[in-house]
Amino acid sequence: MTIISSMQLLKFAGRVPAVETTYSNLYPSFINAYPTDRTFTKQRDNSELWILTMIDHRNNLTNAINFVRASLDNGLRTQDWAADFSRGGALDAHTYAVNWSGIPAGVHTIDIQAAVSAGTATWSTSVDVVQVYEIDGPAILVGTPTLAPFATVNPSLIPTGFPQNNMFTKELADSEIWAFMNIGHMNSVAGATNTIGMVIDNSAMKTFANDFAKGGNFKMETMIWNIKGLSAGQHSFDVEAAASSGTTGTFFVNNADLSLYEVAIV
Amino acid sequence: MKNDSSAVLVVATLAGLALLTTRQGPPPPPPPPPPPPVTQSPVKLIFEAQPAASPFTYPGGGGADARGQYTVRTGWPINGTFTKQYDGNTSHLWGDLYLPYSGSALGSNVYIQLSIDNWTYGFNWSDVFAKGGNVKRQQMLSHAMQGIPAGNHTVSINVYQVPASTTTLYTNLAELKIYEVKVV
Repeated sequence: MTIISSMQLLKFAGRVPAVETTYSNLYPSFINAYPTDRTFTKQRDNSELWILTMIDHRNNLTNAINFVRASLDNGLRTQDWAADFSRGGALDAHTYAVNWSGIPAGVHTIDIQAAVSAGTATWSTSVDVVQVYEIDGPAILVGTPTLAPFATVNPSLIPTGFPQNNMFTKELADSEIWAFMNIGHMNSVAGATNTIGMVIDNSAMKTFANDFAKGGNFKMETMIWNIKGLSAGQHSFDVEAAASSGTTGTFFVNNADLSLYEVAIV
Repeated sequence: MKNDSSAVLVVATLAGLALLTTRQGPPPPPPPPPPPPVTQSPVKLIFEAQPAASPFTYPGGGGADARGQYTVRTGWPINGTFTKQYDGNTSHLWGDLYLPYSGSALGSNVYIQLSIDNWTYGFNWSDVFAKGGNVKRQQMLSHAMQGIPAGNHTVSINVYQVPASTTTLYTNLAELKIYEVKVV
């Protein structure tokens, strides 16, 4: 059975105390940002973990990058994200997610960690939260890194070749598909936009677009798509990409992960 | 006598069989208890907004609201009411907002707010633009909004921008979903 019908919130924690904190340690040297109470108990061996984290942060330097890392059991599993800033001092709020399978039942720890490319990052007081969910998965499609960086100068979306094995089977007609994708990308030109599209059956599409404060900055982002109304049976899932006109975007599909789940709606 | 001996032998044999039967060891252990049932904590879609007819342009500036913030109601979603099934912290809400937007000025900071029950509960997103006029399409997923009682509630999307410049919200492309997740 691949349909998610069980979901438990194992951990809901913010930063304690909830005050602004600053970080200036340079990537790849991460330090713990939150939470203080970092333990949770996974109930079952064959379930999966969803880690959802929200942060609201800024950097005092224009064009700097703030890095965020989720670390399970002191580095046993890690997932990195990165965001750049077009104006020093401006706030930027993000939601990041990662799915981990193969984690045994028992007590574990989760840390959300921070690093900067330059300058000093300040994490706001209002948002920062980490949530750990246990779900009875598994994913019905998993895309693992397979290809080298993929560059495009075409303003129209074109296939990236990710994921390579892209067929999945939906069992129920009235369920939803949830797609979780982390993908890294950059653009050669400051102020350019990269667009990433999630494609079902070569037609249905949801696009995400993000601009860049500085040419060559790297972003690692989470994209989530909830898809209703998809019939039961076999379907395909593709990732397409484009850069804004006159620029070159690079999509690091060798640094991407994709998980599709079928979620029963009750 | 022969018959008597046979009878004794039969009785003894039966007794022996009975003894053997009782000495075959302890009864088989009871089957192991079934594994604890997987606690059901369904994710239920309880609200979904339809796109607005046209994009919403926010000129920026204006007066501060009662909370001291320069927040403007977008008017979207138009019919923003939903019903929460479980009370208080026995369930929580996720807000999943997809709202493409653009800012007119480089470095401008736009704040988008999901407000429940006229700012009684809610969630703020903020974003900064690398270039004026770029359209950004990003996921805005709220954290678990807790402590909201069961019953009917309202939801609205609001916006403000620092410094004041024009923000365009492509509400004609927007999607808003609210999920209720049972806590177990």
